[in-house]
Amino acid sequence: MTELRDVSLTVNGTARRVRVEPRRLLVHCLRYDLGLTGTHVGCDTADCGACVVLLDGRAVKSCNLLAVQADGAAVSTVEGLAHDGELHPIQRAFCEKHAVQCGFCTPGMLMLASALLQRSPHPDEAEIRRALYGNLCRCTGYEHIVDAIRYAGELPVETGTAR
Amino acid sequence: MIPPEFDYERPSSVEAAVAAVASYGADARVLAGGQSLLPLLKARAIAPKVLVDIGGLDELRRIERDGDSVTIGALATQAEVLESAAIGGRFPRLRAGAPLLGDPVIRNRGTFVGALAFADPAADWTALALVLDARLRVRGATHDRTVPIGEFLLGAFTTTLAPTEVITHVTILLPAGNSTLAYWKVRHPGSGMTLVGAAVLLDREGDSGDGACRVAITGAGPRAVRVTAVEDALRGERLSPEAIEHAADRAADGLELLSDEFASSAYRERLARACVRRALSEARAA
Amino acid sequence: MYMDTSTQGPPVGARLNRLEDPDLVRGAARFVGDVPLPGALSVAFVRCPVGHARVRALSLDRARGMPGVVAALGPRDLPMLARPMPPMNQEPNVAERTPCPLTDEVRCAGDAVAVVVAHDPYRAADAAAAVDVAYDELPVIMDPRRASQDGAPLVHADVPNNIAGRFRFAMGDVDAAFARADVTLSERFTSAQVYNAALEPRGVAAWPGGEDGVTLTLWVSTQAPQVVRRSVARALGLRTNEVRVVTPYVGGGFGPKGRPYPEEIAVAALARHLGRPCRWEATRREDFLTSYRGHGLQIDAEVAAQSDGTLLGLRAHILQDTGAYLLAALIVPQYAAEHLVGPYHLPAADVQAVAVYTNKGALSPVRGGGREEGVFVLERLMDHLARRLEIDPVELRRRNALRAEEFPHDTCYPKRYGGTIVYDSGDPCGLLDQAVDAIDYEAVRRAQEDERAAGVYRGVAVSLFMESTAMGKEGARVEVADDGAVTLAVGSADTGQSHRTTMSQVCAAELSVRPERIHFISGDTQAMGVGTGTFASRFAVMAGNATALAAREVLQRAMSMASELLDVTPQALEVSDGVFHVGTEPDRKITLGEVARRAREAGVPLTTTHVFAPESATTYAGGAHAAVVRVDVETGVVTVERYVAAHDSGTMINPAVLEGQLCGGVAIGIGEALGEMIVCDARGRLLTDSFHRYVVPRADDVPRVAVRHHPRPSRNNPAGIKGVGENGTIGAIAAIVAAVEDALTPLALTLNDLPVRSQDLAAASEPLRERAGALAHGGVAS
Repeated sequence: MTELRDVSLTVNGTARRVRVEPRRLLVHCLRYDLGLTGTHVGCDTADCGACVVLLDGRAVKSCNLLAVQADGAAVSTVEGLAHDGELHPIQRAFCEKHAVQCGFCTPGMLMLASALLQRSPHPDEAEIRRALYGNLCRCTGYEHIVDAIRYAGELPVETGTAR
Repeated sequence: MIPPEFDYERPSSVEAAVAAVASYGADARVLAGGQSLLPLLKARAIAPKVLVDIGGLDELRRIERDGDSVTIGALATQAEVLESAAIGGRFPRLRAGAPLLGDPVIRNRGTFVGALAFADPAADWTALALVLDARLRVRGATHDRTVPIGEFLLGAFTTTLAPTEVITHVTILLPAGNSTLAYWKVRHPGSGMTLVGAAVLLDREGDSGDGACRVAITGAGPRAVRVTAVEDALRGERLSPEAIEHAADRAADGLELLSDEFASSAYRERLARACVRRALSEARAA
Repeated sequence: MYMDTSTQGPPVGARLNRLEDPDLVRGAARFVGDVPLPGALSVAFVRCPVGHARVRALSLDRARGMPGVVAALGPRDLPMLARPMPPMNQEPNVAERTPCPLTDEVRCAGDAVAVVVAHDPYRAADAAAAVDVAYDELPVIMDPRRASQDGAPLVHADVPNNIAGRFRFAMGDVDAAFARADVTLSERFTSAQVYNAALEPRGVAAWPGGEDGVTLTLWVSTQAPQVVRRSVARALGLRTNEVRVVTPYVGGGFGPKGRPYPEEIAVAALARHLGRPCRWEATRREDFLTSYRGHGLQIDAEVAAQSDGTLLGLRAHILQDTGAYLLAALIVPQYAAEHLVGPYHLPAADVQAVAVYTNKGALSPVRGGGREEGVFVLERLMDHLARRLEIDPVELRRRNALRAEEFPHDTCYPKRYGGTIVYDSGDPCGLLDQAVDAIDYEAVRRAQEDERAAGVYRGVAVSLFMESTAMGKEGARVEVADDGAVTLAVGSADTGQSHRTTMSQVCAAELSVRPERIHFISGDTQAMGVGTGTFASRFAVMAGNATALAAREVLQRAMSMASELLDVTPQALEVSDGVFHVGTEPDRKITLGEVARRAREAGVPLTTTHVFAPESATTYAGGAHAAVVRVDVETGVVTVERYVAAHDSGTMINPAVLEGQLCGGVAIGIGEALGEMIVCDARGRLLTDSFHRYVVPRADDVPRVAVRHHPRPSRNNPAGIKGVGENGTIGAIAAIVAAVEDALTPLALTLNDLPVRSQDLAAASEPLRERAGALAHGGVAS
């Protein structure tokens, strides 16, 4: 076996340290080493976006990244969206607009959307649909997801923002 | 899917990275953003003994403008290129329409240089690099060289880059102030990504000399190429709709066309003409 | 909390926020890969890449010697792994052949030839890669038409001519109808195999233990846990009640997860063999290879009509490619056949079907389950007939469609197992009017000529259909605890359909409690053993009625007890929010929980189970869809600009859930109409094995869907519910293809093959290229 590596991450605001093989994918580090199973693996080929997390604030596909590449970085996952039990506006919007069906793509959608809203607080429908290019959903036909993201852009930010 | 085992090195200087790559040769792969490399590893299509991660070399992250010259380091992501003043600011509609260029999430990690080095036959970035006349700076243990993108790309996933070499940056010579850049593409029915795309750089100064109009096509054949037949047809011409129509008809001249289960060579040929015509029209209208 | 679920008015019919969502949006919902299972081993299969082969040599030594590897097995190493899965249908005159968990005779790409077990997924993947297999490739048969001809390679040596089964439905005098027709049309229709593409790949976890007599517990990403339980129990020689199947959250199914799979048996057998919990999660490539597939039909159909468009008769011959195995009997061609009669007056029909084996992945229903193909064929024939007779396609449908006052309507068209198809309620003409009105059909038509002159090719079309929804049986158990908490357990698993929300609404309405107070369990065989599966647009109908009837009985018993305790007649009692009180004296009251406690103490706990299993559960939903598309005649790229889905799904439990089902169904239909196709090569290898080669519609590929509700409550069940899960897909394929054809009217194309491919449209549009006008697909310029 190859030499294990120490990797330091700030995950949802908390400093974490793991010892992993160099080939460990970030998504497996989150799921297996840190027990954060909200981030999903949907396709293996970086096409579907179920594994999207924020790395230093930017949306990335965590199945397409080695944990060692994230050494020293801040990682935000779906588990970190809510604050003190209060849902993030994007989570509330997904609930209120029926943007969830099976829910498997939802964590990636939420993280993507939270990054989008950080950059562009009031995106129009075309911008949202383009931004969702790399996030597949087979259940909803996207309409309610698009509606939820637009709606979240209009919600008052009561609970802080995605870190 | 899970990558095979490999050793991992994270050099702390460009010199160390170059030395490592030069010594491992074909046993090593350079890891920058990893957006093309990771899928290959996970599919176990490649099994390098060692990955040399240049991700810690912040000096390679820069996007710098010096006069008409822009340097894009090997770690600058595609998103950073689009957001940069030097490129995104110079071609604002490229940024506005940026979702046409690959997957927006991949762009946050994938590097501009990496996309060129990967040489996917249907990459969007290679066509843009061709019309921007990008030059790659390549370093080996005992040499360095500069290679124009048109000479760098040899075929599908093959380039002149030796296993012992590292690309440190790409240099683009910005065109004259009044030039426009346009890109048009049609999506692949299997992947939803690019099937065929055409990039056009148009000098609007009325200069009818060499370089007044550069045209490149990606996806039609095994590598992205400049389409000199179209450029020649437009040389010295006013860019009227008729001239565009006439020139675009030659878009597939001399192209080596791919054919597969998803798109015949005849379809790719048709799309090459369509994309070139539309990119030319867009550039003219801009 | 983010939501106030205290509904205005009765819970049934309310746009309640989903009760599933809080866990799902927090990332707290557990899918099969997330279920904590300490010490679980990882399972990985070794799969054959070609379509037909015999294993010449299998060497597991290298794999067994690798670090972290617990076991590596071939088909001879554990007897139950080499036996075909138990056949689950066993219909007469059907040659039902099922896959083996491991085999040395491969019949389709993806068949497993070995399996490895290791301490973690990384070691398992390494070990699987280290298994050495040598194959002798055998002749493959991929074309279903050639498969049934003499001399074709046999997929199963004991199935002559590869014929899995046949059937025939006939009514009226078809020959006479064709003899007296003013016009007849004859067309061939084909469809490529399609992939369900559930975002969660399949997966199984097994623990060789359990409680209350259970010796084997499985967590499975399935639509049908009760079916999986029977399959695994029979394969392993266990009693059914020794096996418990639990469905955690499931990331979509769309049909193929509604059938049992060999991996369930393999993982269960390995867990028992090794005495350790084991888990297998499919890679996306494995899911592409092994998930059962939809479509794969070739239908030759003829229609006879009068010159005024009145339908006289229909003939069809269905050739169904079943792939290498038969998991779903002849359900798919049967649904296709049943939907050829449609929402029209059709006096005569003769439909024959034959299902044949090939070396492709096995068939199962995929959203629509054959209905979408019957509807596609019939609606295409209507469009072709309209063109031949120079009648507007909407008008042709109106002339033939059933009117609301004609329901219930006996089509006289036989069902496969006796009786005839009787549409219980509906209003096809009304649905058609709604769709035509919402899409502004006449305005689109009026603009077409000018648009074409300007090089803009825009088309509009409608599809009209009746849809068979629901079948089988479903159980519901309602139980009230001492604290008034209500537990509702139903059988079939949720894979995104909002079971918790909708069934809680039904139960809450009956009991007059708040929906969020209901503790809901579904898809756990220990909590409810009766369930057919979440497919065939059946769950809301079957479980909705079972839940309503069980809750009603609980309420009646509680009422009667409350009336005794309060010493009033039951008629004098009112109930709200879990409290019974005397109508005229609001202070005389007792809580539901108190009644439950007293009932328990009296030895008759306040719980009841209702199994809803009517002789014929089927009820007929309806829909009229309309689409506006634009075709770029130079590139062949189709843009769906507008879409309307008018539907009749009977009594609506939650309109927002229905709208979600319709939008999602339409998106799948658009994908299947315009591009989704499984592609294999001449050796039977799967070329479309990732989302790089088989993509599902993305967010910018699909339009908004304008939904028009036009409910006509079912007459076949007490709650009046009809299914809705497949409505969107069924209507979309036919409407989209027709709209593309309409856009290209100057070319007089006949689009009968699925999917419609851009490259074919571009080639056919050559004559229009000269006129190609405005740009259609967005460009970038700076």
